[in-house]
Amino acid sequence: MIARFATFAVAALLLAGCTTPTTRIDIRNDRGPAVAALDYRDIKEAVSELAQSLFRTGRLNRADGKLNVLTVGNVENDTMQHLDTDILTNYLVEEMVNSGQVLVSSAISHGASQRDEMIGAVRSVRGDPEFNQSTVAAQGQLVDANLSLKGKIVQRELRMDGGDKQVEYYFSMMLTDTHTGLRLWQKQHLIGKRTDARTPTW
Amino acid sequence: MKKNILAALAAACALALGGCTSLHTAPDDRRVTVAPALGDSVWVTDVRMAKGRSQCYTLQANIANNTSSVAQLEYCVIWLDSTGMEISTLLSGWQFASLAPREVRGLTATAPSPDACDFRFYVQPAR
Repeated sequence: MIARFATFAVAALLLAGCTTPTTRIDIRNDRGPAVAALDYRDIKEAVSELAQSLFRTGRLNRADGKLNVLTVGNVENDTMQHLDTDILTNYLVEEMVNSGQVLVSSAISHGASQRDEMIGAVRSVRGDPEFNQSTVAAQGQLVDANLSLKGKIVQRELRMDGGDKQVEYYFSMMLTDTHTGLRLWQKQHLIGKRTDARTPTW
Repeated sequence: MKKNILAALAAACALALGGCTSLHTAPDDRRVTVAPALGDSVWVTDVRMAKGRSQCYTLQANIANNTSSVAQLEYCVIWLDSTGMEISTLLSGWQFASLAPREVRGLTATAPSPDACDFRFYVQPAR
């Protein structure tokens, strides 16, 4: 009985010793090894390249001095991974807004996560005697968007001669003038990785 | 006569040495910091900034690998506003660069906002 208990205790201790302790990632100076799947470093790199390309073109300058109003369209995830593309979109939109050249419409967008339902809710009390009507949003106040942002993330996997695997991730984004339908900017950024054939990328 | 020849030789040597010194000194730019671990193996030269058609500055710098082996580097540009405060942005992340032996490569970085008017450029060995 005692021998069995001792064996169990030793096994439990050994197993506990094998676990990796949880640590925080220093996201500004991450020295962790690369991973085959997409991680936050890849997304931040892609956003940085995309945003710099956009700002360099000067296409956000408006001759009339007004600010652009952006609506966020669909960003398709064509990878083998469960990835919420809002992570990419939110970073990019944040950089565009912080540049001081763009405002974002919360009234019109492709995804519900980019819309604010309260815009409609506060208007639903129009004519309701319980509300001071002078504080209710008047008709014709919403501003339509003059720019639309959409994109796609694509994953390709190729088998290399030595049996290893090459994974390619393409981040494509485009900005369109919604009034004219003309594409003002487009950029595709590639992140490539090589790994063992057995390493999963989903 | 002998004295004149010696003086001429000394002057020639001094000129030659002076020429060597000026050619092989890392450029000094207070906006650029190269990690001490890299020593003189990497230089950052010809740093310039322009706006072009954009309202945001684009920085261009040449990075030179002075060694006969591949240099694996990371660089980062921190953008500052007119008050000298750092602008928080994803555009200031570390970027990887692999330079072939003796390669000189132009690197560019675009500011995150028209408010950015100065920068700090950092280079360190790749992790």
